[in-house]
Amino acid sequence: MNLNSIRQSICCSMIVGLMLLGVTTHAQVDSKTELVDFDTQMIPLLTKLGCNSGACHGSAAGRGGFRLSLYGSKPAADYEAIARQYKGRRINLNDAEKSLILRKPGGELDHGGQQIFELDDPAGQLIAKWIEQGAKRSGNQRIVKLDVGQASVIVNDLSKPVQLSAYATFHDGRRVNVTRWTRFEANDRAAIKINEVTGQAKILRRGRLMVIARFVSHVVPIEFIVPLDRDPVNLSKAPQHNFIDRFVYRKLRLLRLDPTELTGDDEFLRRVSLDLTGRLPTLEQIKAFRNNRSKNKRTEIIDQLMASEAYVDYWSYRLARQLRIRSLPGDKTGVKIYYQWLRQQLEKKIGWDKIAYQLVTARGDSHRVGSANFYRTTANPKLQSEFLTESLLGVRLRCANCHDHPLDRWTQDDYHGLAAILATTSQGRAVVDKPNAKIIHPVTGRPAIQRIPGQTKLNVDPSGGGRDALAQWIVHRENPYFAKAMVNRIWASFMGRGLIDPVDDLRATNPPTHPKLLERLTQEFVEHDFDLRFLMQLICNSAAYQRKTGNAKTLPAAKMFYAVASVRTLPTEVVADAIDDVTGVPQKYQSWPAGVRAVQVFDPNTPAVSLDILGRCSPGASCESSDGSDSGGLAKQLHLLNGELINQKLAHRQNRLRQAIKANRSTTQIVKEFYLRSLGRAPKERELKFWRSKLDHPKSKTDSQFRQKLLSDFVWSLLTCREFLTNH
Amino acid sequence: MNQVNRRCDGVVRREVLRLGGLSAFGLGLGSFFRLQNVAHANLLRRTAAAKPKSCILIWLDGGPSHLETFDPKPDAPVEVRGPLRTIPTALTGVRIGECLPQTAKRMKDIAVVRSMTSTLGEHNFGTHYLLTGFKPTPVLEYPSFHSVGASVYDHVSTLPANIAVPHSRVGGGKFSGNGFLATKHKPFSIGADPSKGNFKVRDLDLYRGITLDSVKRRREFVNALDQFSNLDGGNGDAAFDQAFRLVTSKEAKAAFSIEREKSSLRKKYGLRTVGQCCLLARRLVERGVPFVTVNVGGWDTHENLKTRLKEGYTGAKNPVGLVPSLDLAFSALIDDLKERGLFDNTLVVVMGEFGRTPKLNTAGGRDHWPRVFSVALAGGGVAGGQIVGASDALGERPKDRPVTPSDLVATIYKLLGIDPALELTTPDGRPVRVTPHESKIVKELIA
Repeated sequence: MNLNSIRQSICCSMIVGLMLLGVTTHAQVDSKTELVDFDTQMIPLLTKLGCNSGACHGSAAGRGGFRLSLYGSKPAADYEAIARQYKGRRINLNDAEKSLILRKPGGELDHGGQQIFELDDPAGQLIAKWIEQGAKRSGNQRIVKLDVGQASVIVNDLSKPVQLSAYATFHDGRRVNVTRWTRFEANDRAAIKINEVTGQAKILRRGRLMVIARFVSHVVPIEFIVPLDRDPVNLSKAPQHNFIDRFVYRKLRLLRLDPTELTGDDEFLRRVSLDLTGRLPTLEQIKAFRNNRSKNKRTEIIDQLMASEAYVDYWSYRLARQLRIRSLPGDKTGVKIYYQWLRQQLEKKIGWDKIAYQLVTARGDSHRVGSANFYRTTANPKLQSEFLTESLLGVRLRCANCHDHPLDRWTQDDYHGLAAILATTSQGRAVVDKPNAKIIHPVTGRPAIQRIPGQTKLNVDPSGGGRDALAQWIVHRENPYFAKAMVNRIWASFMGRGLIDPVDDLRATNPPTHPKLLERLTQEFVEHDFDLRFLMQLICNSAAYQRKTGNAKTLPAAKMFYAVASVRTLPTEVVADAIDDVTGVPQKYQSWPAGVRAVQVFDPNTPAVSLDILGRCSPGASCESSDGSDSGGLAKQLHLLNGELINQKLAHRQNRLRQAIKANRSTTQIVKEFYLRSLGRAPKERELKFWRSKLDHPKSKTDSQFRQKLLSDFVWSLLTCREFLTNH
Repeated sequence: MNQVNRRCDGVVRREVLRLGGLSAFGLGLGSFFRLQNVAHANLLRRTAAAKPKSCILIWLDGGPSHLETFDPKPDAPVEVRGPLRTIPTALTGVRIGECLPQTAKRMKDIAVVRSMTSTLGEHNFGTHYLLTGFKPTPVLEYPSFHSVGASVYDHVSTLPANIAVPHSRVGGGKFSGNGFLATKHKPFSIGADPSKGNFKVRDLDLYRGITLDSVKRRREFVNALDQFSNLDGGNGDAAFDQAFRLVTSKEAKAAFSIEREKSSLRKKYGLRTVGQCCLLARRLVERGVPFVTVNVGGWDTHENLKTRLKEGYTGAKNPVGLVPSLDLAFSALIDDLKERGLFDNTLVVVMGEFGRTPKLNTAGGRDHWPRVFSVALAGGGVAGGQIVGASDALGERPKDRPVTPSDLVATIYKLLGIDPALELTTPDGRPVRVTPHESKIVKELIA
């Protein structure tokens, strides 16, 4: 929508609003004598009209020389800007209607944001009344809570609009309907149309939709579940392996989504091997699994895989990326010690809480104490705060560096308070306490006060106890983020999407698709001493994990609610290893012994052109929010087609294909073997037919060179097709 | 999540830039781009609307000395003046460094800003500032102007829209170019030096022993496999198709065949990296590539300034250092573009991340100096034949008309027909202008 049509819709809705006299709300001008309160009436109005949004005067630099705090998080500063700045030129106490803050948005004077309201609109009238009353700010009205009635709404009949409502609870306990001045924002504006005046929502699309209600600095999400337009589904016969399935089916029933059936053994084995060990199943493993007649064979293989060395390798790699482990300029020792420490934790089955506690409280020489390298991840305490909250708590604190977080509870005090704690630790080779180090709070210009995010100020002796208190808070069973963030991350890596998505963005306004499931999983994880293997086996054993994947026609909602299994791009290193395994030609990584696999190359700074072109996560970056499918782009495709990565292995004299040809295997045998090695399954009849027609070329009977070429092209296509490059 | 539904300016965002909110409702950016790509792949030619301009950026990585190039101080004391002389130019009263004789003759086509000023004297930071118009912040990596341009232009062609020669490593290699934009807007690095005898774009030529028949077969086979598996989200990969088209298109590959240029012309550009890269850039622009970055390293001249900038090696009879090489390349590029009628539609920008200290250091070099430096522009609607602004007598700070990197980038956008107030949306939903609010277009530069 362009600005003009937005403008029109605002105007229209304003006119509608004037006609709807039945709605009486808090901020409406319904009494001549009642004082207009700046903090709880004027600010919501500015927010509702979008004046203090990031695109307008709420941007860090303001607009047109007029700056407001983002979404009104700092009423005192806003009052200063409106009523006092430039000697109060924005306010005309003698003639309210002549005030700039009315004439500009009212369309009388040139306004960058064009006309926002008519002067006789409720908005204009409210502002005028506030000015007539002396443009004062009492500062004694506070809103302690915003609620929206029902936080999750099921909508069956799309023809009827849904009434949104919002209630503010004041410091004195008053609960007032503030629907008229609450700003409702739909995540997908093409799916929900909201009448700004009446708060009526018209739903245009089915699925799960979110609306954020914003009043003053309070934000509350409202979830709409709009079932698909079809008959209710019968899930009584759907397989239930553990509690996960109960929660998943509950949502599927609501949405009327049919789950796919469980996937076959071959596909399950490939899926679970890649997820638990980052490796394709070997021919022997496939055979053994096919021949296993046990009823519990899936559970058994999950346990077997988790007990393997390959599991430790792969999950060390995954966690190392989460913790952004890498070598530093001129220091290749720290990364080694750090990785070895981490690998040991996994080997010894140490709980995630104990791992995190060791990281946060680490002290000592980072060339001897692996965990101390945690403090060498970033260059300064502020960056370390952002990194720590993202990697351990799944929380994005960084917005709060410059302004209070617009969608979350985090304030600048939280950000700089945490940085103040971390500032008391040196980030050089020796990680030691330096109790007197300070960080300057950008608002006060004075040293920030140590504080755990969201908690009150730390009451610790200034000799460096802050970090220990922080660590205790982080790994505490009741911490609302720590366990949940890891559960959500692990879930996402097996299921393709976090229950909260993206996984490093936990906040009240980004609610989970399955809140109760996440709660239960978190509770189980905590009760089992934050055991990662326990959590993984829960997920892998569920029917939700073991389902068939969808196809091109699958609805987005079916993926989001686990009616189908997801198709996931494999990590770059796993692809590189898989290519080695299929061709039988291992890649040698610079200065690493031959036979070391890409996932074992723990330093992502190790030069490897192929991995770079394929789009490995760049050292020190957080790679969680991208799905990797875009990385590489043209250069990657060119490399697959013409580069060394695959071609050199296909040209290798000792590769598996050449061996098979030498052993006089038939085309059918070769096709079958390479299908099994790369895709972990047998070719279907029509596939075999296709390959026979293409590969058993008359010329290949007489020309063995030509046959080898054809077969090489076949293997190349196996190594670059989507079925190979994804887990599914 | 996109929080903004009411906007302060009248800019209509292009659909393709409206990325912000997508991941919030389940469609990851990856799949979004695949959709976009599918849509684009169906178009075979570039949108025929007003022909967008091209831009060749000659990036002097490391920070070129303004005193030895476009802003010499012949009257300053010797420790400022430096070891090199100055020469007159086609503009009366304007002198430039002695190593730029060909450029001097063409000054009527060139505009030089001598009052560039920045506060960032570190390579990464300076690079980010000059290429994006924004000072770097840990919160957001901004996209360079060529990535923004590539994302704004409706470029659909076998050749990529944003190409870096010989590679795209600038500012110490941390700078990716696409910033918060999708990876596909990152410059495509050709990964090879066209001045070398064995020049080949990385992975563009068929692997040894692989024939074109094989390539066609591979495409057929992989398409068959993708159809057999019919996996969700597997409906075609535009990058894959582009790779095939590029590899199998003689025409597109020919764009990189610098050996087809007459040897007299190749010599005119100079046989060093910068010269051959500029020639390659012209070939690409001629074939419709809108953005080419020519990356020239080595300008971080902390020592032996005279050798590195002028001579090239100690005791050289004919100077072949950085500046003479640039001189040949830049002047030949201007002539060549003019001869082919491309000059008015191709903006050429010559710059680095900062200038060098006015006082020579004890190693006979100059250190980082962002406070004042020079940038040269030509073609593409630039009002040539003028010097904008001036530095003070010692080349220490702007004397008048200070121009910030933000101003420069805004002016480049303006010249390329892109509104400097255009807003993009970051993946987390923040509206971000392509230039900072405070940036001002340098009006004199626009013809």
